[in-house]
Amino acid sequence: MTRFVFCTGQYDSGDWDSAPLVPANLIDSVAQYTSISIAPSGVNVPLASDAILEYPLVYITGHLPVRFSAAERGNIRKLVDRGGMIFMDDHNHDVDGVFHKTAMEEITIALSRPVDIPNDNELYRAFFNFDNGPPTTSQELNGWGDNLVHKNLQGVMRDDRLALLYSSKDYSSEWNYHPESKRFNAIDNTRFGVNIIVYALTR
Amino acid sequence: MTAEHRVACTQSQLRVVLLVSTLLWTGAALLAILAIELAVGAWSHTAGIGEWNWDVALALGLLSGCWVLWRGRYVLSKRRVALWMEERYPSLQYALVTASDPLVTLGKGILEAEIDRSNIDTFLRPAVLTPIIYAGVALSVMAGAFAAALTLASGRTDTVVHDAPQKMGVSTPIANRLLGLSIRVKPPAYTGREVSNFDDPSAVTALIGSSVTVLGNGRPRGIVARLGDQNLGVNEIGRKWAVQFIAPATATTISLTDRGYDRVLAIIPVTDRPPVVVLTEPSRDTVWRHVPSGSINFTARATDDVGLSSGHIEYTVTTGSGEIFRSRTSSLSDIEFGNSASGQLHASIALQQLALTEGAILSVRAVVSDNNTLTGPSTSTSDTRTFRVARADEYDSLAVEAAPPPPTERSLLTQRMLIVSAESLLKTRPTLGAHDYVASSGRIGADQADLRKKVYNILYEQDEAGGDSGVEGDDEELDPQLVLNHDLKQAYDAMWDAERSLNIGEINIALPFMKKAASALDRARLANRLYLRGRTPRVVVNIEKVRLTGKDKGQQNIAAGKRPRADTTSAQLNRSLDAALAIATSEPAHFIDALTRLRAQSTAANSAFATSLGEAVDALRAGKDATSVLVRARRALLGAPRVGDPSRPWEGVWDRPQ
Repeated sequence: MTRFVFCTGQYDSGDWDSAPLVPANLIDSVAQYTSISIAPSGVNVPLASDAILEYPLVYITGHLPVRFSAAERGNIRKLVDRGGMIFMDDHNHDVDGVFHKTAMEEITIALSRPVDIPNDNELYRAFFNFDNGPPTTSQELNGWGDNLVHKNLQGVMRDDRLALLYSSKDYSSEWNYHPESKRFNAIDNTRFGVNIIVYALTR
Repeated sequence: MTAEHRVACTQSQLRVVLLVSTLLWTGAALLAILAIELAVGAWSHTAGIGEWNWDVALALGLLSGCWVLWRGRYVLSKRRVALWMEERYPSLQYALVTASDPLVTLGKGILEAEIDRSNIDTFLRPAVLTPIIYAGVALSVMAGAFAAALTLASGRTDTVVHDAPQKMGVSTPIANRLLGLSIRVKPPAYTGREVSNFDDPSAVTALIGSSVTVLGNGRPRGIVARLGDQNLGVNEIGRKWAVQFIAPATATTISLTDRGYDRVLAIIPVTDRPPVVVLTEPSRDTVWRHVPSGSINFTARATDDVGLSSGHIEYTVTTGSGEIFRSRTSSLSDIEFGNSASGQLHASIALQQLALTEGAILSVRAVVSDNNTLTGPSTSTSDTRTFRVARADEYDSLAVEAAPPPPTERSLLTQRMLIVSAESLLKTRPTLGAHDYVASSGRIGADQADLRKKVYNILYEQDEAGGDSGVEGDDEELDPQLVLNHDLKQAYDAMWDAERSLNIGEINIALPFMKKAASALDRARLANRLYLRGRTPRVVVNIEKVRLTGKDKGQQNIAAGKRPRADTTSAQLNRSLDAALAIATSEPAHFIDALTRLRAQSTAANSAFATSLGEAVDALRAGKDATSVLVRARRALLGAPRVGDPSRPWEGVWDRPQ
């Protein structure tokens, strides 16, 4: 059986590697809560490489302006057309900040304009139930960045499937810690990451 | 029978003959005119007989009939009929005219007796029937000419000439009105392009939004046209049937039906692609050691398949660090391209105005949009050039000492110097004596030998610094198994050849080997250079520990079984191609239609496959063999056949198809 490999997308502009512990943390959560066969470590794959098309879920994050090359845009389009899913998170948690603004432009050029995802989308029931929509992050609650608690995530749909999930909530900061430290949390805050992975693998 | 009765009887016969011959001559004239029009129409490839020509033919026929009637007007007068009879039988010497005159009373008996004795009826009967015979012969000849013209018209142009026979009540088979189609494509107004015409194509390639008109010979009645699943109206334009529609965004087919005939045309849309813009200057990203001053120039080249509208240079200045960044974006050098296919953007940014600080990042890109007012405009951006101002503390933790160039690069420089020396010596050869020339060449050869020995040391890692202390066995052949760097080995061998020629003064022969050695050294230098951006920490999760299954070596509980692989587009197209090929021999006409539909269906998914299918359709329509083209189409779909592993034993089953 082919194991699921968590893939982080590398792009030439910006800092794609700003949240290096997120993959390990989510892998740990998937292993803990599900029986999905999963590789023990993630991989970093250039978005411009055709190898990116082999991964069902690609995680993209960063703080700096995102400017995709033509090859990177083309592969994003191909990945989505082939049934893959992209999870893009604004590590800046700063609406209209450089990452948010440029990422929105690039998504619009590569796919289409992201729209708000209703909080009753099946993404929020794919494994754990999140009745109130996307879970808040400590960066939102303590007033960092834009000082907003974002009600919705955004995304690009392909038919009835979520092809690209965009978050301004800075899950990259929220989940960027070593999985060994998870035991100190009263409630595991990476459970929503499990939903994203399960959704990508089953829809 | 009296003379008066005889004249009256002949007058009646002549009236009937006149009417019959009038009809026959009218018909003959009508057929003659139609035959001429058909022949001329077929020769000039025009359509069938139209309304105007039919009216002219009818008018000329009636005119002919009137002319015959006018010629026979004498039948209205008994006296003139009697004279006509006397003319046919002159020996009566006007006895008939006199006897039939009601004013004459004397001697009528003698005259009647004389008329009775004559055999006038024997002479009159053929004379009465002669006009009918002439008219009948004329009608037959014209009917034959019309039939010949009809055959000529049908055989020569395959045009539909059914209108005339239908109006005449002639039951002639109507030709296929779907042959000889012409297509008129009018591109959208924003392109500024002219109308294109195509004669009898198998596919129509048109820019999305173009107005496409399909024109065929004949009347529109009975023609059915469908674009995909949508019915289209069939109109009449200039004595031709016509179907008009707007080129859709996706490839489709237009199905045409005329009674039992049908035909399919593929509609291949051409997308107005977004413009392409390349930032040509500066060519790469840069890190500034200090906050820069002055200005920096930017040049971008933009192209578009139809026409460019406008463009500008956009820049973003990002400052900040850690978790806090600020950004401001602006643009400059707005330019209007005026629908030209290519253009250039130039801009100059004064760096002091940007108020750059340490750690600031300047990102610059070119943005252009095209003139597409129908589905656009499409906007494209160039790759972004990034300029970063280094922070003062960036270099504090790392002391970079000046170091000599590595041995390979030093060897490359020396080799280049030797080449320059050899070329200079070659230029001065006419001014040197033979002895001096060979001696100078030998000195360069000695330097080449020294360099070769250094390369030998690098090659076998005897001296990492590439010094002169290496020991080389000149007569020993290098063991290829020991060679780690094949580029260096190639350089070493080329140096040997160059050295031998230099020692005997043959610089012309030595120079190619010297340049080959320099190229090989350059490749070796680049091969050893590593580009590292940095490596993210690699955290390996102990899955078994997380799942508390560390000591359990049994089978893990796998919730989800293996799911069937999703059907790919290639597999679907391959099945469609198989289905089309299955009817290739049994239903050739439908086979071409099936290939045309498949071409339209596959245009977006696999353009090479669609192109091959188009060639196959053209070949089949021309009556040629399309096997090789269809093989190419199959390979475009599934790739070239793969050779199996002969060492693999036969397993008793074929591979399961994916």
